[in-house]
Amino acid sequence: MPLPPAPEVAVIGGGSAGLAAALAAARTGAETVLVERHSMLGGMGTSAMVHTFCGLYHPDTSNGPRWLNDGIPTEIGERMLERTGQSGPDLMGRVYVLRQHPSHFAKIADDLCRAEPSLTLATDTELVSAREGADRWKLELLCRGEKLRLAPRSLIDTTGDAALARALGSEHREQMEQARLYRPAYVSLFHGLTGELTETMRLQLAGIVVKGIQRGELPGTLLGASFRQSPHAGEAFLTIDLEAGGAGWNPHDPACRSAVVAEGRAAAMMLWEHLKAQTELFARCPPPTFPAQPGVRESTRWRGAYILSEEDLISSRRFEDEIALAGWPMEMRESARGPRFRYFDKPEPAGIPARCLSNAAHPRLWFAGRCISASHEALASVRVMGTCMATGQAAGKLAVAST
Amino acid sequence: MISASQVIQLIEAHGILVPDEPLEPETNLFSQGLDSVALMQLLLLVESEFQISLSPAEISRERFSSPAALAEYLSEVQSSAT
Repeated sequence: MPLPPAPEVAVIGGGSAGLAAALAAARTGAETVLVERHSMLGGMGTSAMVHTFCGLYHPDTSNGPRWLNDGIPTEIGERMLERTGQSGPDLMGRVYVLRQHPSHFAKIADDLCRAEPSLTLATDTELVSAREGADRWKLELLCRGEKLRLAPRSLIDTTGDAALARALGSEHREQMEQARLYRPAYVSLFHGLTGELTETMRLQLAGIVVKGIQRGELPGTLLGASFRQSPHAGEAFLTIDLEAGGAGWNPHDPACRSAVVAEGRAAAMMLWEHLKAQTELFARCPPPTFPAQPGVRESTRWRGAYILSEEDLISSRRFEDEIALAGWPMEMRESARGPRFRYFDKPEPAGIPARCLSNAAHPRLWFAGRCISASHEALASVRVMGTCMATGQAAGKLAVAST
Repeated sequence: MISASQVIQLIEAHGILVPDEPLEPETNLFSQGLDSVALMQLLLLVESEFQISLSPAEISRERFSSPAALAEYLSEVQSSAT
């Protein structure tokens, strides 16, 4: 099926924000194209194997879990609960988190998209260039060497990296100094565990890793490693937070990215061999499944008409033009030695204003997900998938309303 | 003997946890952010500080639940080694 050459809306990036943006736009009947560079939708939640949906629930946990944002985030959460057979989310510290499975997420995304006749998917396709025309955008896309042109009326950047800001040469973008960028994670999936990964076992695994590092049998990289039980029996996800070269980490540098994923793979493989030899639980595990990309937590984002701040979140500030709610604490990860959580003062959500999704310099352009207009600190809250779905959904609606 | 205040001082001086309020001997460390990654830092630290070796199989939530519980466990390990 050919791409419609001049759709109402084009969404660049099919992660949790882009998926929600495209669905929201298409559900109004607007002809919509969703462009994704991988073969699966879901972004970090599928190709980086980030296996928890954070930000889906109200921060007040005293009366049990309550969905925070209506519409697509809730729909995806409900489908994930059903497909994984979980009765609800897990209480992690003071917040609810929903364990998710990347394969289910990819399938849920397919199902949701197929139900929308106005939506066309363009997977395995990269944005090459973008120009701002009088009433339409001129985009160049590349699908395995084949150049395609697309002239949407409205455009949504859900690339996570503000790739459109770079393509347009826009000055309205922001990147934190490299030393302070939140560290990337490398997630892999271990299969064939002979039992449940209990809380005690998770702590003992930390002890086994420390011993292995002290004896020189495991790399120090694994000081950023932790396991979490998959919603399916016999599986566990290993997340390794990487220092990624400290101040040398540049998520826009291909050599840098290559080195980071290679380090992640090497560490995961060494840990697999080690645990296979040393524990009953991992004795029969085949080698872990690796992700298609690293879990990038921060790169470049847009500067919009308003920049959401740490203070806004801490004080649970609400806005007249709010389009989504944030409820996840600021989860700062400037080092690979674990997160530092900054909770909101009260267990109440904060609003995200529409002004964080656009700016006056580029009318007919919206941004959502990890590249919305937020400070480094506020990003630590709004970058999570549940919130990305909510800002994506809002961007999809805004983009249609303007055409 | 290793005291709870020695444990608290180590945790605070090395930024293993960033607690909301100053740690007390009975503070629940897990509610202050002790997870498996922070635990690895803590293990490295107490082993080098107190010249002991902890067995992974003995690690439990109870033994690391508070500075007081941890100090008691570390003291036991220390006295059984000497």
